[in-house]
Amino acid sequence: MPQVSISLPFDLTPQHLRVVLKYFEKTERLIPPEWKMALRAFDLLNKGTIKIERRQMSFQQFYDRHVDRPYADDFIARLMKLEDLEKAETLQQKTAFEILAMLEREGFYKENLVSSEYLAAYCLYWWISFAKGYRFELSIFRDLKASGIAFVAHDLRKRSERRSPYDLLVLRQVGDIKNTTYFLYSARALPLNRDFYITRLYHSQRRRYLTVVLMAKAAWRRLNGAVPTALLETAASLFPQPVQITFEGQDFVIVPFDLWKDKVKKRQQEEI
Amino acid sequence: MSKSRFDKAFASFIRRGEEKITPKTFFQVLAEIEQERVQKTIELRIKIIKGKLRFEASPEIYVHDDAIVLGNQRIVVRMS
Repeated sequence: MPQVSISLPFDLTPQHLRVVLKYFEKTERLIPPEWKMALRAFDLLNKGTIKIERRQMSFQQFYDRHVDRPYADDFIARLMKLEDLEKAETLQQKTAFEILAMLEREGFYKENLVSSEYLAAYCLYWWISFAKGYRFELSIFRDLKASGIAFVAHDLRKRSERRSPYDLLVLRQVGDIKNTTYFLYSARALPLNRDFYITRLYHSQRRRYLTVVLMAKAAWRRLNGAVPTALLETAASLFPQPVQITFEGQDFVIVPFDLWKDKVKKRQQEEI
Repeated sequence: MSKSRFDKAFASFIRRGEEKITPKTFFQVLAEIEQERVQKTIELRIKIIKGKLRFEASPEIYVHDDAIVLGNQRIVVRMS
C-alpha cells in the first residue's frame, strides 16, 4: 500500500463537515441554510489535497484521475445503449459502489487515514452528480427528439464535448441541462449566463418530478409569453404556473418543460 | 467521526435515488445564495466631465477615473 496522507482546506469548518455527513445521511432533512452550506462545503473540498508517496494533488485532480477517467466514458456508453432510462439507476448505483470499493482497495478510504471519509464523500458527491446529470440530460435529448424539436447538442460520448460551454442550442439560444442539486451548485459558484436551463423540481402534491425551464427574461420574450412576477420567497406558491423571478439582479422566467416545448415548436414552425 | 457511520451514510445515499427538492426549497436555497453573495452594498457616484465618465472617490472601494479596482480585477465602465 502506498503512503497516503490527506489535508482538508483550512476554511472548511467543523460545521461544514457536519453538514456534509447530514447531506449523505438525510438529504431531505437539510434546511435551506444547510443546503447552501453543503454546496459551499463541496466547493471548498475541491481544494483538499491528497499526498500519495511524493505526489500531491487536489481532490479535484484526484477525482479526475481516479474516478472520471476510468469510469465516466464507460458509464456514458452503457447509458446510451439503454432503451429504458429507468434502468440507468441500477447502473449508477453499481458504479458508485465500485468506486467506493476501489477507494478502499487502493487505501484511499480507510479507518486510520485521517479525513479519508471526506475524500470518499467528495468522490461520491461528484460521481452521483455526474451520473444523475447525464441520465437527466439524455432523457431530455430523447424527449426533445420525440417531440420534434430541432436542437443541436454536444456529444456526450466525448469527454471534450462534455466539457463544452453549453449543452444544447435551440432557436439560436444556448442552454444547459442540470439536475437540481447541480443547478443549485452552479447558481452558487458561477454566473447563470445561459439563455435557459432545464432542471426539475419535486412536486409534493403530485408526488413526482416536474421538469422546468428557467429562462433569461430576454430568451422568454422571444417565445412571447406573459407571466406574473414573484419574489424568491413567494415563487413556490405559484408553481407549476410560469413565474418571473429576479436572482442576483437578473430576471428569469421559470416555466414547465411541456409549455416551453410547445412554445419552441410553434416558433420553429413559424421559422420554416 | 467513525468510518462505519460514513459507510452506512454512503450506502444509503447511493441507494436513495433522486433528492426530492421541492419548489419551496429550491427558491429558498436561491434566496440564501443571493443573500450570502450580497453582504454589502457600496454606492458609487459618477460625474460626466467633458463627455467622460468619472467616479467620485469612495472611502469604501478604490476607484480611479472610469475604473473600479476590486481585488485583483480592474473594472472599467464605458458609456455606450
